[in-house]
Amino acid sequence: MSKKLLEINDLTYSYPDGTRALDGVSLMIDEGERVGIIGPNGAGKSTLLLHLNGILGQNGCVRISGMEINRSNLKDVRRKVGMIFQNPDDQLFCPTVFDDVAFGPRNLRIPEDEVARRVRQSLEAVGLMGFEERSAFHLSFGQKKRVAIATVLSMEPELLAIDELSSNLDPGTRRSMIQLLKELGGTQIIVSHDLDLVSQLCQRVIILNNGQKIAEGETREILRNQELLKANDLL
Amino acid sequence: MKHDFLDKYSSLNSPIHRLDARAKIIAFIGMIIFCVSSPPNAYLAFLGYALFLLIAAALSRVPPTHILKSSLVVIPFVILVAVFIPFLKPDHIGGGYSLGIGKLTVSRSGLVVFENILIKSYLAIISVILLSSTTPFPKLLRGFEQLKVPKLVIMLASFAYRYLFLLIEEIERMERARDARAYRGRWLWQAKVIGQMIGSLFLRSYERGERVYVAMASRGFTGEIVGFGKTKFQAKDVLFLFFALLFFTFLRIEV
Ligand SMILES: Nc1ncnc2c1ncn2[C@@H]1O[C@H](COP(=O)(O)OP(=O)(O)OP(=O)(O)O)[C@@H](O)[C@H]1O
Ligand SMILES: [Mg+2]
Repeated sequence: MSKKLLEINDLTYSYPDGTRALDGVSLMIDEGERVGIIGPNGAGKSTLLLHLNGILGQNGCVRISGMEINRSNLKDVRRKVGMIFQNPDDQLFCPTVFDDVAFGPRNLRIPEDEVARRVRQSLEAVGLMGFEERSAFHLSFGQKKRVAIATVLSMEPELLAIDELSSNLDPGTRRSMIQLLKELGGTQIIVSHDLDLVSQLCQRVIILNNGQKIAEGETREILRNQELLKANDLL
Repeated sequence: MKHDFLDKYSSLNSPIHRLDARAKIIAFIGMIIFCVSSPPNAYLAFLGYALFLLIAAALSRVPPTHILKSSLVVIPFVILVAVFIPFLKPDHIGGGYSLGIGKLTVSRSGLVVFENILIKSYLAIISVILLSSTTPFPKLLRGFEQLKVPKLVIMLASFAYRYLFLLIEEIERMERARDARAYRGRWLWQAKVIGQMIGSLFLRSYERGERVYVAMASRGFTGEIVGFGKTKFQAKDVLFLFFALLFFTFLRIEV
């Protein structure tokens, strides 16, 4: 039996304004697995992701490699979980690509020469060598998305959590992004509306709607169930 | 990209561009301090500072038209402030020139101050333009950081640099959306629409701020700013700085 990397147990969350975004969600992800989370707009997918590294409340429902997320281990948790957000402009806030990719490792107080090595390695992994001194503003959307991935790779995370991977990407960039994620391997959670992308990348998918887990299973079987997809506005 | 006016020539490759940002910051800002503190009649010294700027500009290969154009943007503000001085300063020695319009007089010492301000501020403006058009903004930030400018200030400036253009684009998008909906009408109505645009711009920026903060926290940011990497001072930087400061000191003391 393979090791459990992520365990969520009966997670419920309401935003301060009273919107119930998650309602009793439980799920489990094994090490090395690539899992898709699909669901219509407003289903609670992004809210779920924000719980994976303790951004939204630490209420004991989420465990990363057996460790319960609480205030005292946030730093460890955030090193283990690499979060890639929907809009790369929110994630690239430094004057140069180098500083952006180095931001995480520097916060971990890693020595500067090791930081430089990790930056080089991460940019190489996303195919953007030589972009160190560029400003994020001057990059194309697809390049920004790659840099955003590099900014978390440099922290050497155990779990990659990616929100809306393919929105705003042209078909070619989308294809190369799928290829990139396949090459990166490791444990990945991929949130998307893009059923084709999910079927290419994930062995398993979870359908989320109205803050609840509606279905979970092997990708092929779930995506074959037209009625289920239609009922959840995915088709 | 169309919003590249800030960084247009800063990534050229010239001896000046290759200098360490700190050396340039100290030299160009040092020149301003030396120059501003010179006596008003040190015309030879002013010529010396101009010579320094001329040589630096020539070495940097930044087009002179760019430097002149940029300076023309700033100088009107200086003139606007300084132009009143000759009329305000009462002259005790020379008596001044009467303009024959009521009590309005032009004083000689006031004219000297005016001329002095023009010369010095123009030299200072050129100096700052040269600094910023030979150093990419990120390197400038790193230089200021290594010169012990508080990290919070550096971070604010870096956010401003990073998000200014996005904000401009957002405004342009909103204007387009407004015009697409046949924006016309009386000025009272226009004022209302503009007010709403400013409000929604504020909200959007605020929301972006929250999302950026979440992205920072996700990468281990705890409120303590770690800053950017370090660069190394090389022999050429030391030499440049040494001769520049030596030259300024000479101008200041001897001329
Ligand atoms: N900051 C917030 N304050 C209040 N309610 C929020 C906030 N963020 C999200 N919500 C609400 O929580 C619910 C879930 O939102 P969430 O962003 O998680 O959905 P999502 O599945 O990611 O949708 P999308 O596909 O559009 O990104 C929605 O009803 C949304 O309106
Ligand atoms: Mg979302």
